[in-house]
Amino acid sequence: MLSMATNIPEIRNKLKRILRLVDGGWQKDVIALVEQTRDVVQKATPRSRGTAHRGSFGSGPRFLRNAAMTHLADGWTMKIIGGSAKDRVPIFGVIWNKQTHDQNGEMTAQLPKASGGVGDYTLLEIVEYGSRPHVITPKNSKFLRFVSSGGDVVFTKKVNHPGTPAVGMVRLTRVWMTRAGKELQAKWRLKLDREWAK
Amino acid sequence: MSIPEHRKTINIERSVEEFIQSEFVVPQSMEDSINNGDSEFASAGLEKWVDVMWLSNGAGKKGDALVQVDVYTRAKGKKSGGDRYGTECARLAQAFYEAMHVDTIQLYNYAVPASPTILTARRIMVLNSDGKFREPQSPGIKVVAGFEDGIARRTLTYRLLLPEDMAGLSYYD
Repeated sequence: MLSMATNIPEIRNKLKRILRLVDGGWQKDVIALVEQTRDVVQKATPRSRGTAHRGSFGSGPRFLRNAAMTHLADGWTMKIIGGSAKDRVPIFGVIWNKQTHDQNGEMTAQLPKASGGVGDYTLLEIVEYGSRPHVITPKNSKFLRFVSSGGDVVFTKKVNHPGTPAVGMVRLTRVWMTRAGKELQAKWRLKLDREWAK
Repeated sequence: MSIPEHRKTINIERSVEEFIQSEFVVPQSMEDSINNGDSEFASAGLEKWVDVMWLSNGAGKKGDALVQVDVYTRAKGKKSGGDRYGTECARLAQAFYEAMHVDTIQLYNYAVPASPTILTARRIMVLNSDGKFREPQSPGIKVVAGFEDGIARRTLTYRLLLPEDMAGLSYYD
């Protein structure tokens, strides 16, 4: 009991030092990790060749209008929720692609089907998981209409889509992020242990 | 300095693909390009098949490998038979999950492809980034739409790495 009583001021001082240490950098490190993660997924997302055709798809569906404005890779966005100047309030980082999803993960630009309506996927899912070669034919009209990479409007009765290879940028980034998060955790554990041992 | 056989990408990829083929018996296409194998199966008119694609292969090189496995069944038209509701596809995906429910996979040396030799005590681990053995990288079985009519599809992703990759720089340097 005597030992406890004499140790309390020492423990209090140690905790104060640890609080100052956490206030000085933990939150900044976590935010930096979220920013790095966004950069990693952005780099891993493939870009189509050439420049986008600004305005070419002005009256088309939303996903085409978005594609015309910018590449899918440019849509990666991050938001930090929570946190405080004192660094002790938990923070939550969200990364999403604003061209295809909202920050709650809801799809905002599903791809249209030839039969009308939309699919339960966006361009992001196709690039992430890939698609098989398939034939596209018109369902409700005589011709398919699309704009070629050269900007020409093309009418045709059939398109042999070659399929899209899976890139897996979200899954690859998630693996990277988990590893980086563990390294950050280990770094801070070491810092705190050192502070406690002083 | 040459790389040890168990760290060579060709041996890692082939060993895993052979393991899948031996444990999970449906026609399979092993490819890094989605176009090659598919046309073969489309013309063959198969009812169910599996595609294996390597998203990355850093295993044996201070990293890890990510492999995507797509299980497909032909749903056919609304009035014909086939896997209309995707239940067969789900069953196959579950069977695949069970086949891959192992801690490690034996590695082989494919220097002579027709007669591979076992690499004694060299195995690759099935370990997701959350640190769970035998589990896919995506939590549970990830369901992805077929993207085109008439095909049901389910996707599983696995992370594979050598014990040396886990040890990191302390092993390699």
